[in-house]
Amino acid sequence: MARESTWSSFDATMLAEESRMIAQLLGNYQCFGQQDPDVGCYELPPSSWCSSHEADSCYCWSVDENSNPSLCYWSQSGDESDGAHAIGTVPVFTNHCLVGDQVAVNQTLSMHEPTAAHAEMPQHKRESHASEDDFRRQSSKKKIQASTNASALKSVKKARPGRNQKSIVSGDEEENHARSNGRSCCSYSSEDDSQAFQADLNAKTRSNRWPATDPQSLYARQRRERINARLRILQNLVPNGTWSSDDTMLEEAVHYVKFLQLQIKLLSSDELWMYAPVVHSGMNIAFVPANTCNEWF
Amino acid sequence: MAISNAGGDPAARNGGGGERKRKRWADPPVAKWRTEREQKTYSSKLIEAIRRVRRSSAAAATDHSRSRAVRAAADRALAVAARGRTRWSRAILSGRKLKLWDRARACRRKPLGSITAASASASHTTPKSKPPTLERKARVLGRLVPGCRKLPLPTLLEEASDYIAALEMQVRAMSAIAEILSAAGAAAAEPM
Repeated sequence: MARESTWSSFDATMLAEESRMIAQLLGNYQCFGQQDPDVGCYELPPSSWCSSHEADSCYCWSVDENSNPSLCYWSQSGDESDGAHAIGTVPVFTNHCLVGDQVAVNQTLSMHEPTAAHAEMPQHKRESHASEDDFRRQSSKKKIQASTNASALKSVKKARPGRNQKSIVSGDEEENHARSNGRSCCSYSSEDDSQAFQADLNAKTRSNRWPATDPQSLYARQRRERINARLRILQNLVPNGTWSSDDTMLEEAVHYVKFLQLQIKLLSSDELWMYAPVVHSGMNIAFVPANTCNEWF
Repeated sequence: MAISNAGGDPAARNGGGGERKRKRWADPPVAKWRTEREQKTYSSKLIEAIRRVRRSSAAAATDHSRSRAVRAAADRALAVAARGRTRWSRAILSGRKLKLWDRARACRRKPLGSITAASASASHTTPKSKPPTLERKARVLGRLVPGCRKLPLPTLLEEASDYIAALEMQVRAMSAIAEILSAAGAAAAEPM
């Protein structure tokens, strides 16, 4: 791909300059707040994000001394009552961050479902098709993204369903494109470090041709990618989930659900639930005191 | 029963931005069910639910009805722990009686032929169509997961993953509680 060739070289010394350039470019789209000149860090006020992002979180794209650009994610949504804290420079978080997920993302420190997380990532990339071209033309020195962004473009196909395509025609799509584009640049800037995470997606996306010509086949392909991503999650859940075929995975999932339900049924049929002494004071070993859940029952 | 999140989520799902929001939770909640904190929360809720079941069914009829009540309480507690963000949890909370009634009505009215027609049409519309066996298995899975009968495959897979993770946590919590209860019961029975 031509795009890949232009970004094949990664000039680490240009990072600072590129960071400023990115700020300008993204500032054109009026989606950025203040810029921290010390760190090259851009703080993105939550309100400036497109509607996909509703959590109170800030994204900061910073550049380390060793020229490792990374995306720090501060999440302020009080869902998990974790407050605001920076995740750090773990590359895998960038994918989560770009999605603008809730605080629960913070807990996904492990690369449990990398493909799934990455599948959620490209939902922005799909819309950022057109704006990507502009972005590239403006910033010819944007070597940070390098091959990762090219794969990001290809991972567009893994993006969300046809609803995303329809949402392209919306009025404020330009801003969305820019923001998602900036986000994609930010996120993938550190993808060079996480090969294991990216290689899997690269293998999937590079096999597809880009750009797709037939919208219907594109939609079908996207749908297929989505399904495969979800199947990977399921595969990680189900024990002995080493089956790669869709049929067998579904079958195993069905069997496992039946097994779990049967297990619960057996557990609940035990007499001790009704007759054993359930004294609250005696059960304080490891239990969180039940708070206000009474209205559910 | 008050289902606070039920109204919020469909509204969020309608918009384009809401679509992204809905897709995002596919990954994190699966890991969420594995945290210790979640298990503790669920355990406490379960204890409360069991106490209520005991109080309400003091003169319980049969062992079967008691175990069913216990299991229903456990499932409701699990759905509460899910905070109503998933379809299956909302389906559980909106009433098991409703589900059974709908199932009976569906079995009476909808002939089996419509299922094959649906699968055939699905294979015609999409060029890269999945074989009907996949569709069949997806329907089986949809029947197992509460409230996910007529979902499309990607959504169904999401719901199934979350449901499996939640069930695993439920099994862990219940077995832990059962162990503690039996230990407590044995300790209480010893001085006698």
